[in-house]
Amino acid sequence: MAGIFVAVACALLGVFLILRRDSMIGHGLAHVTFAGVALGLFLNIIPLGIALAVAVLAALGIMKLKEKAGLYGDTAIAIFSSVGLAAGIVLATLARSYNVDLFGYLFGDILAIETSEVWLSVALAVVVVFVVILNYHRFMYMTFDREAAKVSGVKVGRLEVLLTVLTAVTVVSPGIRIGGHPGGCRSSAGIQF
Amino acid sequence: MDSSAADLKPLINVRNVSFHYGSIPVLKEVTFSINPGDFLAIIGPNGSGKTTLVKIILGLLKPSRGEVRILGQPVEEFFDWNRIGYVPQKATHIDPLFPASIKEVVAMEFHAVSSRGMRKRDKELSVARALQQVGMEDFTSRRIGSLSGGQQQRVFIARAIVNKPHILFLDEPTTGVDTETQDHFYDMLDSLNKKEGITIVMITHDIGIVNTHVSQVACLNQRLVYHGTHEDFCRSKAFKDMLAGGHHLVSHRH
Repeated sequence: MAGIFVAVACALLGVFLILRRDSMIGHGLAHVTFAGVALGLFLNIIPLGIALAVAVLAALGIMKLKEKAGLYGDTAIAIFSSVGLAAGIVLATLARSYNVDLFGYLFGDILAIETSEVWLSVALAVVVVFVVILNYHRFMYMTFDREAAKVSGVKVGRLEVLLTVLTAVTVVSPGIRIGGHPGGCRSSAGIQF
Repeated sequence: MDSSAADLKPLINVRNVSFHYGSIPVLKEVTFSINPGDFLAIIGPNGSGKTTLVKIILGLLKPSRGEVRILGQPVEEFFDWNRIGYVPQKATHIDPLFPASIKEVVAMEFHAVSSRGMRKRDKELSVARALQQVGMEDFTSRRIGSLSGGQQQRVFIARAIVNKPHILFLDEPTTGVDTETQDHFYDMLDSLNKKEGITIVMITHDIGIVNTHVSQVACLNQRLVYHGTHEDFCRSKAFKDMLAGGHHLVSHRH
C-alpha cells in the first residue's frame, strides 16, 4: 500500500522533472540522503530528520547551482550526488562499525515498512496530488518556457522551490525505506523518477 | 485595445541603465522611452546588449545602475503583466516531444496569476482568435513539436498576444525562419501594430526590416548610439558607421 502511494507521488512529480531534464534528481538526492542518514546515525540523532534536512538543502543547492552557474540539471545533480555519497562513506567509516540500519536505508526494504510510514506515504501522496492539481498549468508553463512564464507573472522562483522541496521530501520520507539507495538495485517501488 | 490615460504617456521609460556580467560591461547609461503605437527595432552588433536590455525592461535581470518604469511604475513593483507579451530568443529551441498541443501552448498565458477568474469559454474564444490572427487556426490540435520553426514562432506570438497586451517584445523572432515566411511574418507584425494597436519592440539583425516595417530604431552598441525614426536613422552617422565598421549588421537570414 505504501508503495502505491509513493508511486503516485513519484509519477506526478516525475512528469515535470523529466520534462525539465532533471530526471536524475531522485538518484542524486538518494545519494545525498545516504550522507544524511549516516550523519544521523553517527550523531545518534533520528536519521530521517537529518536526512530530510540534508536532502532539502541539497535539492535547493542543486537548483541554485543550475541557476547561478548556468549548469545543466544533470551536471549539478552529479556534483551533489558524488559529494553526498563520499560524505556518507566517510561518516560510516568514521563510525567504525556499520550499523545495520544504515544498510537498511542503503538498500531499502519495502517489507520493513512500519504502519506510521504507510500513513506518512499516504499523507505525502495527498499533498503532492493537491499541489500538482492546484499548480498544474503553472508548472507546465514554467517547464515549457521559463522566461515567458516569468514575464507573464508566474512566480517561477517560488514554484521551483515548491517542486524541489516536494521532490526531496518524496525521496526521503517513505521512499528511502521503500526504494533505498538507487544503487542498491533492490528497490521494490523504485524512487527513481 | 482600450485607450486610457496611461496610453498618453510613454509605455516604457529606461533611465541611465547600466549592466555588467561580472566585470564585463554590457550596457552603459542607456536612456530612452517607448511610446504607444511604436514599432521599434532594436539593432546592434553581436554582444551589444540588445537581449540584456530587453530582459532588464521585463524584470528578468536587475540593472547594475539605473531604472526602468513600465506604465509609470518601477518594473520591480509592476504587477499587470498581462499587458506585456514576450517571445524569447530561444523560443524555437523547444523539446520536440513536449506533450502540449498548440492551443494548450497558447492557453498557457492564461495560467499566470493575473488571468485568474476568466471564464473557460472566454479563454477558448481568445485562444481561437489569437491563433486566427497569426494564421494558425487550422493547427490547433497539433503537437507543438511537430511544427516548423516559422509555425512555432507564430504560435508563440499567438501566446504572447492572447491576453491583448499593450506591448509585444520579440527577441530575434525570425531566427531559423525562411525568407518567404519572414515576409509573411513581418506583414503579420505590421497588422498587429497598425490594426490592433499593439506596440511592438523587436530585436533584430535584419537591417532590411528597418526600411520596410518599423517606425522607430534604437541602435545599441553597449551605449545607445541612436534612437529615432527609421528615416533619420538611414541618413544618420550611426547607420553609416555601423555598416562601415563591419558590425555584422547585414541582412541576417538563417
